Amino acid sequence: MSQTDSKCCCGSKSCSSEPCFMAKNYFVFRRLHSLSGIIPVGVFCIVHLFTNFQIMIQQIPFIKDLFNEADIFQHEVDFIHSMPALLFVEIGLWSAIGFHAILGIAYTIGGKSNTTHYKYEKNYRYTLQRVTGIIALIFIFVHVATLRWRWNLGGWFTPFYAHGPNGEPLVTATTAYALQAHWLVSAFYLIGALGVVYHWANGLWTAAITWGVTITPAAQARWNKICAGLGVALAIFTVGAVIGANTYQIKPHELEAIHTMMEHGAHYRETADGHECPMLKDGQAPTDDCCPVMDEATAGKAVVEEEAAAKPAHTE
Amino acid sequence: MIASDAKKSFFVKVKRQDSPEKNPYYEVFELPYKPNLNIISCLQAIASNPVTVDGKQSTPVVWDCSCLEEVCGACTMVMGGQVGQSCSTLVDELIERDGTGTKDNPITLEPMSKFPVVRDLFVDRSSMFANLKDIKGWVPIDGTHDLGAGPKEDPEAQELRYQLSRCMTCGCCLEACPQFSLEGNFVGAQVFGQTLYFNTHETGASLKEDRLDVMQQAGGISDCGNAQNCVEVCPKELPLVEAIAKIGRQTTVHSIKKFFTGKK
Amino acid sequence: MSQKQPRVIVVGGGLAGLSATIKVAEAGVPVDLFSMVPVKRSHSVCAQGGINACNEVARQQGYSEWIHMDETLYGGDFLQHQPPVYEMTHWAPRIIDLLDRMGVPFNRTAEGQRDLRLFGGSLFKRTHFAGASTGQQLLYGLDEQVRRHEADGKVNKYEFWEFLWPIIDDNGECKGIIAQDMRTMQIKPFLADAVVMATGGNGMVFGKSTMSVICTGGAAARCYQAGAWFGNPEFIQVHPTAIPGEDKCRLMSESARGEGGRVWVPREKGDVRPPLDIPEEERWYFLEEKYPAYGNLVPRDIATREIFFVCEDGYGIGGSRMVYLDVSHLPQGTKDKLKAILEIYEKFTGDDPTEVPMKIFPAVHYSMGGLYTVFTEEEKEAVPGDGEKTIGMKDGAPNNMMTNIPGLFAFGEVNYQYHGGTRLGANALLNCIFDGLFCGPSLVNYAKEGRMSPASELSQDIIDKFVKQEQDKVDALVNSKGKANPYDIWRRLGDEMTAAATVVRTEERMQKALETVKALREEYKDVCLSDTGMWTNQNLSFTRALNDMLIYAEAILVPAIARKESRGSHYRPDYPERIDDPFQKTSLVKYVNDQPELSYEDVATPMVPPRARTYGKTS
Repeated sequence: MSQTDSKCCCGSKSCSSEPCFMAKNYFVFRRLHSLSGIIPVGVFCIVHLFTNFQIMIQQIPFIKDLFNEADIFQHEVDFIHSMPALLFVEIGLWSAIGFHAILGIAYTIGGKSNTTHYKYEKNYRYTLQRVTGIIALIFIFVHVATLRWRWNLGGWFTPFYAHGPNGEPLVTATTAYALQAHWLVSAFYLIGALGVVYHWANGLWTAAITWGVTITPAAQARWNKICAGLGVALAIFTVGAVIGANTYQIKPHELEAIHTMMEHGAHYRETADGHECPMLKDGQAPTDDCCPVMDEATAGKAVVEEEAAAKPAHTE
Repeated sequence: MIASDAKKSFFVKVKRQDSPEKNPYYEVFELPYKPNLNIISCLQAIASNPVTVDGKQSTPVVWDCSCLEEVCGACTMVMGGQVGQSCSTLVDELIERDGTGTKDNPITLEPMSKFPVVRDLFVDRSSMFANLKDIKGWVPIDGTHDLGAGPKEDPEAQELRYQLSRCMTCGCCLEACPQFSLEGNFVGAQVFGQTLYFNTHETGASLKEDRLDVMQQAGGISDCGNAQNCVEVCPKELPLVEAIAKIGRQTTVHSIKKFFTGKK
Repeated sequence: MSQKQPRVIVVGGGLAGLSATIKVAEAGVPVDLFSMVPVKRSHSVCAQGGINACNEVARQQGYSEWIHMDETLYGGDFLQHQPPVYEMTHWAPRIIDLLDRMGVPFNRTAEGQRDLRLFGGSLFKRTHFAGASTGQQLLYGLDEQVRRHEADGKVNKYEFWEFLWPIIDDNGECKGIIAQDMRTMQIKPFLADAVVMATGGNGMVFGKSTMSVICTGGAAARCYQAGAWFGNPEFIQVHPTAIPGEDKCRLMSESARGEGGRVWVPREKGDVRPPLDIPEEERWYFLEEKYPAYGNLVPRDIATREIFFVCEDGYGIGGSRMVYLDVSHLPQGTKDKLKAILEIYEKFTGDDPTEVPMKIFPAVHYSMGGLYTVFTEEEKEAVPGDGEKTIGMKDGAPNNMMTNIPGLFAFGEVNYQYHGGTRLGANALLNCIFDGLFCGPSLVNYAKEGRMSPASELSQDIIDKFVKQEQDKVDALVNSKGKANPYDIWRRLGDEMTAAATVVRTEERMQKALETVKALREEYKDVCLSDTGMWTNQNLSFTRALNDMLIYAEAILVPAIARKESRGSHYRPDYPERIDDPFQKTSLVKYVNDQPELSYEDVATPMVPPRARTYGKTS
């Protein structure tokens, strides 16, 4: 290592290959990695978890009475969905998550946990940060794939619908439906989302060292308290949301609407203004402003599979 | 000492390796117990009578040591799974901490795992010294001519530099670091401490930019995973976490400055 | 191996070796630096207290370089040559400045000036320090500068290489060294136009000492066997305060006393109460009582003897051979300055010295004697404070600190100059760095012009002869079918030397020790290696050095027996007074027919006439 020529970024002492773009901008990539975790992903998570928390809050009678709004959760989701160019936000988020995840995995491979011999708190946190990173990645992917993209993962078919076939509010019901599908789903959400929370809160703490904001151990201890506070708050939101989703009583008409949507839902896609497209007849070609999530060829097939798979899961 | 409950002997299991190419193996030795023995004394006892518990005539264990008072940094090794200086690690401490020392559960002595083994417990730490060359670990004086005193220094700044200057290149911080590995290019806490040490000196700071360029590369400051084991195991209690954070700050500022005003 | 350009070899990477390397490299002459350990691990790291130099504060209180010289000569009981001491003490302030510029983290005052502490043998604060690990800090400062020259390609480091023998040509001039890689065990010749030994002391001869395990005195003893002379080898400093241990005695710096630490024992013999339960009036601060002016800061040999006799008389703690060194009463800020040594005490004993007094006893610490060297005198221009006659050393004279073998120099502790009968605390670091910086140019001048013939013209036959000599030694050891255990011989040597030739030396005891050492040398002929492999064989290295330690031990005992007087660290109860006629002389020990041969050389006292060394003792 000398200051004139950069090291190869492959991480090997013995590598002597010409420094690539990554190697030349190594530091920038590492800093962007840190930043991408905190700002886009982290801030989104706070909003998201806070929104979810409403599912429980709104079930508490006196809070419910405070607002002139029966379904706060629905309201907030509708608000988010009403944001213009939500697609760009989504693309931005996915790029940030993808970037953060790919580099994160690469960096994780470079380290080797040694908590068996060095049982220090920060060392456990180091290991946990990497474990929760992987958990978070899997969780976010599955979470979005099932709810947002409405994938059927081997019978796990718990899509999310903001509105029913006739535009009726469905946010709370469909969330509750998804999490009530099986206790494992709730457990998965609990572990996954808490993993995300830990990863973010601890990441916020280490980022302050990485960027050189908190210098002394005393400053780091103070910042640690703040990060822990944020983490606990988000953890409360998370647990609250999961509890709320489990305690919510799905009304018969909501159930019917969900089932209707699940049977044909693969053809739906929320438009930018928050409204569902009208239901398409089988075989009918989608229009430009209202296209199905999946392409035509797979759409029909998926519906059949979904029907077959979804039924037994939801009869309980 | 009360004779009746005094321990008569204890057992030590040493990881041996005859040369870098050979496979490692273990040997167990029985040693007479005395209170306040350090690990060096164990190895000295083995050297003067290298016979294993199985009665096999072996060779003296090879290890690196010099001052025996925890200031030269030579005798680092892994004892009972944890890295430290074998001069200041006492047998009693290990027996109490790990419950080892018995025939079935002897005290293990192993070489550091993050450096190439030369023989037995003796490892090659030359990379640590080479890294000091890379960061230009010196104050660029104009020569040894009589040019008067150095810069005045605030006692607080001196205190920080003094603490950092106590780094004895022992390698504990690197051995305990989950990010540092034998194959990888991460330089580890020792280098960050030394970088800060020179960057903090008025004359030494004239090479600050060069040092920070090195810190920005792969294997530099941004590969730190903040496990902070370094500061836990450092026998000299160097403010390594502080050094890492400060170098983090300096590189952050350095890269922004370079982006806006850099010529290259 | 042909080389036209002059080259210098430095053996030893402590303060003396590194400062010499810097000077030579700076002059543009390439340096090969040999060390048994990475240079950052040299024994200089163990020096704790500080480095003496006249400074502005002390100067305005009446101190001067001249007084520094006077203290050094008085402390050394006037056995040393005075011009080198004059030169060293006058260079001291400039050396501190240079170290300061190199970035050594000297302690600072609130204003940002270099802080000072009191040290043994002086009534002035004239010791500069960096916490309580000054040697470490100075060594690192020099190591960094050497690394810079190494990065520039001017210095080649050979770390984990052991010096085996000097190469001496038919004219008797040193032309290089034979060295062995301690990992591959390869034996190789290295040629140079000047070779400097900066190989430190010989503590291992005494078994347990405050010295590092590498301080066998082996390198010096090899030069001695090759024809170099020893000067005053009988002068061995026993440090008053060390922590007795199973594997070694760990130093407890004089700075503990310099910062206000007090030495005491219970007034009642065999008092077994815990120290904190003993009230002030029942404590005997014997040093303060006997030496009101210097108190706990009398020179080391005096403090050592007082502690030794107090224990002999049965006043040691609970009847043992230990006394209290107490810093528990000092303010927190002062304790912080001593952190480095106090935490060492706690780590090795489990007691916190900031709470309870430390238990200490004297231990072998420093070799005042060593390889005999010469220098060129020169009259110097007097500076304020100087006496009438001012004689120093001639700058750059090609023979400064050269041994009796042309081309072979000795710097630092291995050099017998500067300290005479005993060394004052914080003068060793100064001596080592001064040798390197002041005499470094002498090496260059010798290598360029002073030499009789260039090393590159040395015949291959001579080189081969020395390589073979060393190879044969190795072969003999490896193939030995003997029975003697080298570690056992070493332990017995150490016990005998410590008992006979440290604090108190009597003719009878030393004669017995000489017989023992002779017997051990016989036994050594039957020595057996437990490791005969040819890869990183420390057993071989140790056993080879053991022979040199035995030879060195004889060279210590013979002049010690012959010096029938008491002077500095050499205390003879059978001759308790200093006897200038005939002993105001350097003991010269030559290796003739496998035996030490003793002769004397006069020591002139041109600047400071000898006076009685009492340190104001009251009783």
